[in-house]
Amino acid sequence: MSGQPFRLDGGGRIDRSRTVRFTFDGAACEGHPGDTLSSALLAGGRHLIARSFKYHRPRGILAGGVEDPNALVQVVTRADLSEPNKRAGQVEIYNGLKVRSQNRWPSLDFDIGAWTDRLSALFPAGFYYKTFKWPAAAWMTYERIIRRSAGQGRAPTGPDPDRYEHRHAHCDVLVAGGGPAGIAAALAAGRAGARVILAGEQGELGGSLLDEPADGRRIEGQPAADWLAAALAELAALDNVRVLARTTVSAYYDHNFLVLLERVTDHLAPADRTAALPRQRLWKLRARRVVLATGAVERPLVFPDNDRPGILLAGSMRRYLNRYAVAPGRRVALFTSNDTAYRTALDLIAAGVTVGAVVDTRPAPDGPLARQVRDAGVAVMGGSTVVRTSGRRRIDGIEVMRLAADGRSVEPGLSTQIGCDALAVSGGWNPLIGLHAQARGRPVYDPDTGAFLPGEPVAAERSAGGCRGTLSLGGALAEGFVAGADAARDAGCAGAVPPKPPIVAEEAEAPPRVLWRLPGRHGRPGRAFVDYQSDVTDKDLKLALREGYRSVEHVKRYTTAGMGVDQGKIGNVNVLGVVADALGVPVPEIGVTTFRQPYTPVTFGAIAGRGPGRFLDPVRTTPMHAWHAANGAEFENVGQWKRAWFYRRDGESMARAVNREVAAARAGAGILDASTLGKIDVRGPDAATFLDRVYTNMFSTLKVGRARYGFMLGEDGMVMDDGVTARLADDHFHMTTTTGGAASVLTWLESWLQTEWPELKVYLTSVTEQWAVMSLCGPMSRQILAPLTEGIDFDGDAFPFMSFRDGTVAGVPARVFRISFTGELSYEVNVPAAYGLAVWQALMAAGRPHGLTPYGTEAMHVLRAEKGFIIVGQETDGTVTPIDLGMDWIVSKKKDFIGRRSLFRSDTVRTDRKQLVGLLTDEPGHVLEEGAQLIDEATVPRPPVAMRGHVTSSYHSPNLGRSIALALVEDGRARMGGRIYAALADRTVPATIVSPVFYDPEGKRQDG
Amino acid sequence: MMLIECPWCGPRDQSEFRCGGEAHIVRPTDSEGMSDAEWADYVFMRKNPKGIHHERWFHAHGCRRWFNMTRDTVSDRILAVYKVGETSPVGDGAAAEAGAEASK
Amino acid sequence: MAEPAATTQTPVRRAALDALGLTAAAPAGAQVTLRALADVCRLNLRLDAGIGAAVAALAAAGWTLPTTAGGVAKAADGRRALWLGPDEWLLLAPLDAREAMLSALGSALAGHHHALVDLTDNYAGIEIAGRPAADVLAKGCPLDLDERAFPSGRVAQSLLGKADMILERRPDGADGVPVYQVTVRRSFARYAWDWLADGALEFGLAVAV
Repeated sequence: MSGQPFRLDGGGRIDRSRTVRFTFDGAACEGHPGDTLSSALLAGGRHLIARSFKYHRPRGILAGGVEDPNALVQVVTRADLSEPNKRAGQVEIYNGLKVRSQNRWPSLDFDIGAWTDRLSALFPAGFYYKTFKWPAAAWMTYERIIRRSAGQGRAPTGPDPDRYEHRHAHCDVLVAGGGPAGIAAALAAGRAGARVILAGEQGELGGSLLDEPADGRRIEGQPAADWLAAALAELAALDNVRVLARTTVSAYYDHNFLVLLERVTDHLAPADRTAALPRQRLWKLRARRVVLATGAVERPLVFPDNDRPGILLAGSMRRYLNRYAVAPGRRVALFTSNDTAYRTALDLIAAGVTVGAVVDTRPAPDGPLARQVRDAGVAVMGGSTVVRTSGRRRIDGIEVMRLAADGRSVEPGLSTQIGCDALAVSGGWNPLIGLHAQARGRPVYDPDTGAFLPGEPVAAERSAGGCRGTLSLGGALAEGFVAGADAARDAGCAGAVPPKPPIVAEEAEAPPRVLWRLPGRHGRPGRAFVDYQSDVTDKDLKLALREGYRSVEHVKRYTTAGMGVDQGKIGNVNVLGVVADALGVPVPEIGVTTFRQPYTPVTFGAIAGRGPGRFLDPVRTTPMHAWHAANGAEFENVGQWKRAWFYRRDGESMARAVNREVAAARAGAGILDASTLGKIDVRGPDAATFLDRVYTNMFSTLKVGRARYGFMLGEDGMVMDDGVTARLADDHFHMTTTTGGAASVLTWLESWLQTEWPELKVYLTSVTEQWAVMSLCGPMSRQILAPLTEGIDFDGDAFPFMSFRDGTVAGVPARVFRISFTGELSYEVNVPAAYGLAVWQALMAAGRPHGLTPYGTEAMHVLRAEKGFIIVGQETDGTVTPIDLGMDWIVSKKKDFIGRRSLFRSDTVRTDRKQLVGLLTDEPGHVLEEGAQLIDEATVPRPPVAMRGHVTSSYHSPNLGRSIALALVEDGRARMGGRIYAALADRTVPATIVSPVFYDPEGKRQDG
Repeated sequence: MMLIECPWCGPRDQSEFRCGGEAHIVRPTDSEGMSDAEWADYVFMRKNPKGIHHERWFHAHGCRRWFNMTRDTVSDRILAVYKVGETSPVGDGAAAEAGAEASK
Repeated sequence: MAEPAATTQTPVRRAALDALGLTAAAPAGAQVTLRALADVCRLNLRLDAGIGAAVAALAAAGWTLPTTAGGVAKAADGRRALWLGPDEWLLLAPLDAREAMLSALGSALAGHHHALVDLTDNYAGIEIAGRPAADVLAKGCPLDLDERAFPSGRVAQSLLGKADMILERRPDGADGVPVYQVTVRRSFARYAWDWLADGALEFGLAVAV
């Protein structure tokens, strides 16, 4: 046991038969299974484990769990992979665990940064705000230097290799907290048949029950540990109860939606972690009712030099002693304002630790617990206070004086010196009301205990036990049973049985005394820390008040009190008390700081879940995807779709590939996978009426068998989507939308049908993925398609432009549209998606003798730009009307349609609006950048420069043998033949404004 | 994250829905005779109140039906869910009351 | 550009998941089984269920429409009608029954405002079975999948990760394990499969084809 000199020989819940070895700052340390890092370090006699944030003061373990403001460490997995700011009481040790201390250089014991402490008088609250704000420009320099010395711990530099999961869950009753009240609540709700989730923060459930010694308080006549074991066994046997250990209820949102963080493998040695198990799991939980049983954390007293290593909270010291069998020192003193410390004193005595004295701020401590301590021969110093402590890296003594009656100063007279190597401190308890407050509850101040208690619940929650200010074990159990049963009943569980709380034998506790800043010696107030983690003293708080801050939210931000990793779980109430005291007002008058989610820090990995990587967003592929991939296609992301961008042949460049594809589509034949276009089946007697209302042009006049290109506008008159819609029957249309607009257009159409025109008899059904679509274009397309097709007469008159025919292609039932997005003779073949690949392959085979060339979206863009065909979202951006695009012909004047009235607003009828034009650069080889701004001047004048428009599309056109561009230009149609300049970073590029139709303006080619 | 009672599917997670903004805006049938300002009021102007709000919701990942909901924008409390074409059972008097309660 | 010669006589039908080239695997201890389902006939029906004559005509044709939310009505030969919304159902039947169904239902509904749309190829089906199947689904589905809330014979539309999903709880397997059928739009098949397979890893994954 040489590595654990402070480990007691008996007791505790650790497994002495096995030794766990780990390192702290490289030094070999050991402990046992069941230990946390805190308990193992204390067993080794190490109290100094961190340096404070601002003054680099030596700090030890103050508390027992996540609330500890001092014991922050960095858990190191690899050189580039570590996690900062883990609270030592939260880290379960395993073989090979590596831990580094934080905020020190070069070492914990000798830290150069501690110079700030010697000069602390120069670094009051607000120091940085005041010192470095002038001259303003210099802040950029200061900041870099200050940032280097600031921050707690170090962020990992490598990628996070761990797996994280999310999962949804639903329950009747969520119990937050695995202590006595929580277990009681889960038992009561579980017995009533409710679906219960019990979430406990620690590896072992039981909370304060685990801190009871074997001969401590008894429940129903049994030791607490035995009652606990039986209760947990009962919960485990209930199918309707799920117990989650190592799970923190982090956040409580509206409608009883809660987020829980489960640490699945953090406590395991890396070798024991499996790749399939997530490191952490984020639960997204909907609970009908919530029982908050989060307990309370002890707060320290605010007295001079109250931050030395070796000073522990009394309840935490008792936990280390009883649960982990660790003596906090050889000779311990206690300092308290309530009865908590007496239980610790009694257990210390029983464990054989020398107890120097109990210093109590109450004038005459005379409760049953105090009497037992006195009877054991320990000096109880009532009406006294600790005015000073000594010992640099660990406490070695305290100085005690009599308090004046009002507790604000000390009585004249000599002080008493007491030597000790550990000091237990208790200033009362802070109920953990964070979740209640997150759920919009308003805390209520209880002056008798100096504690904030949960107020009237707003959400469907109730509090039980310590978090409700009930500190006795019997009280916590009783409240837990009632809360669990009530919650189950309210959640609608008929099986609710009246709870029968167990009988607990325990001493009554005498009332506490509430004092905030305790005095030092006469005229020597000393330094008393209120928020340890941010190094905020009472003096800093008072300075903030002198500076004029009154709201506690402002005081908090000015001093940074409560803004650390711990979020002031221990310090905030003392902050409020000290501030209220200094202002001479009751505590409730200065308000409460806001409790925000999360309760304790949540890793980014857990928030991201499986999100990063291949599940970031669905990758959608068409039925012909495998063919594209096997034939050299490179893919372009179009929303979630992967579309073939171009097909690289024999290692050619993208430019060469696109030129080849574009040329082939005009000279011979090309084929494009157009399956991603949105498709909507529109059916019903009012279908034509409906389409007339949503399209700018008329569809009621469309004949069966014919198709028409249409524009949809928003009610603001701006182009929203376009596509070709065909009339399959009088009451039946097949609508197509853009690829990106498929989902949003359907939702939009449904909203009009369902909410504005419910009288229209029309049903819409998305058929986007029912059809595989291949667009065959070029002069040879008819020769390729016709022999494969049955049932369709391809003769020009029999199958005119903008019509469709049903037949079979390659033996598969198909609908063939004669429509064109390239200006060439073109057929769009639609077949059921399951046959998409087969038909594509058949077309490719049939087309090979004719040089059929697959082309991708890039060539498609070039082909349509040569024809001046727009793409919604490229030529339009939500500010463009059909008139701006020069497409007045598509706007019917005979009917109303969505957006029509907006086309006659004063702004939309301006003649100098940006209009669609073509651009030809003087240099035929120069392809303008899309998005380039267009100006009137050949050299960029001094700002402000009038922007006349911008380039929307720009390509090299192999068919024209030069570059072409489409642009939106102010008053563009009136400027045909005029000059305009694209402003680049270093020069301008001159261009001539021309018609947007560059190729085959007569439109002869679409008929082949 | 709200729990929304779809009138057709029952209570579902908010992630299945999309909010469609203010409800009960009727599309004018006589837009021809409206001034630019009147038309702009229909197209662009919305209430965005603090407190009671009647709004349209769409069960986007469920039954794909639109419906109406009365929600307190302060507390996110859902006061009513009702079908298209119906009026909210939460009148303005009740709305003011609920708003006062929520802001207490 | 090498490719197999296609013949017009025998077009090959491919379900969306065929592209994955899945092979069966049943590692020891696997608690979750994923199966890529062959396509079935899927007809989407929109109809006002208040039109008594239409409902009666459908019943005469062997189809009863479930009218409660999330209901599934079974007909002969494993055919079933899934409630998708107040006026929308997905009718499932063997693939070879499609032509006959389209024609029979078309006749039954003639004269009534309705939309009967063939969506056979619009979807892909995946079966997930096993005691922890609901735990896998719950990783990305906000539905309450508890036995009491979502027993066998229920259907719901919801989300699976970022994909829309029709989730049907099928009759329990022979060994009493829950069986779910996940139906996603065709282009989401691979995403859904990979997502489920990855989510099932911690429980041990078997693949049936």
